[in-house]
Amino acid sequence: MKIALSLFVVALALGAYFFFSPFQSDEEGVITIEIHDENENLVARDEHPFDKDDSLFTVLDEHYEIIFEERYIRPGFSGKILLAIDGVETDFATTFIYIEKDGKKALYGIDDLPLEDGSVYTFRVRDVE
Amino acid sequence: MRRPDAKPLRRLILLAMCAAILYVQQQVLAFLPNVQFTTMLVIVFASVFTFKETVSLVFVHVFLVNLISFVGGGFNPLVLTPMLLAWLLVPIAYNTFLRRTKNEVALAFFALFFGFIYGWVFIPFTMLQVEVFEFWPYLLADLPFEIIMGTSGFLTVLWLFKPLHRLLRREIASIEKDGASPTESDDFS
Repeated sequence: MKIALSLFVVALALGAYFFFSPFQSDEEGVITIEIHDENENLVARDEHPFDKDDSLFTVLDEHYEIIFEERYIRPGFSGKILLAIDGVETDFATTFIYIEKDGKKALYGIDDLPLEDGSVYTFRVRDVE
Repeated sequence: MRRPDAKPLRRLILLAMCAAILYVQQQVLAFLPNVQFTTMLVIVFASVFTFKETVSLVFVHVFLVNLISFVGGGFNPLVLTPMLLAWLLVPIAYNTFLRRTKNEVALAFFALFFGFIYGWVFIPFTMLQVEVFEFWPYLLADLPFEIIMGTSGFLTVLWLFKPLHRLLRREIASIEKDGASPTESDDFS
C-alpha cells in the first residue's frame, strides 16, 4: 500500500512539476527584441539568432548595454532583475522594466523566460503602482 | 540521588537536541531547494511533545535559520514572519483538525498539502518585498518548488513517521522513568 501510494504521488508530482515548470527554449532560432522608453517610443527593434546554450539574459547581454542586479529573496525566488537596457533605465522602486512575450505579459524573468523561435520580446518602462 | 528537577531538565535537553537535528538536516539539504525532512520532523515532534514544546521548537528553528544561515533572509522580517507562520501551522493543525492522529497516511497527505500552503504563505510577503503586486507570477513561479516540498514531505512522513515516533516515544518514556538513563533501558534497535 505504501509503495503504491508513494509511486502514485511521485508520478503525479513529476507530471505536475513538468507541466508547471517554465517551458523549454527552442534549440535554435531567431527572436526579435523591442525596447520602448518611458514615453512608449520605440528605441530599438532588432532580430537576434540564438542557440540551445542561450537564455534571454545571454542574448541581451551580448547585444545590448544592460544593467542588472542579482536579487535573492529565498530559495526558489531569486534571479536577475533588469534595471536598464540601452539607456532605458529604471530604479525598480518607482519604475520597472515590464517584459512582454508576443504581446502578453511575461510570467518569468530574463533568467527563465524561454526563447521561442519567431517570438517578439518587448521591454517597456512601467510605473510601480 | 536524583534531584527533583532532573526530568524537566532532561526533557529540555531532548528538546534542544531535536532543535539541533531540525536545523542541521535543513542546512545539510539546503543545496536541494525544498527537499527536506523538516515537515516530517515537525510532525513527529508535534506527535510526541506538547503543543507549547513544539511551538518552542519551531520558534528556535526559524530564528536560527534566519539568524545564521543563507536559507533565511538574514533576519529579514518579510522572510522570518511567513516562515514562522507557516511552520506554526503544523503544530496547530496537528492539535486541532488532525486530532493528534498517528495515522501516517493521513499525516502524509497533510504533509503533501502543507508543501503548497508553505509556499502560499510567502506570496503576500514576497509581494511586499519586491513591490510588484501581481499574484499569478508568484504562484506560478513557486509551484514547482511547492510540488517538490509537498512530495518530499509526503514520502518522508509516509515512510519515517512511525519508526521515528516510536523511537522518540521510547526515549521520552525512558528519560521520564525514575532512576534509568536512556542507554540503560533502551536498545533503539
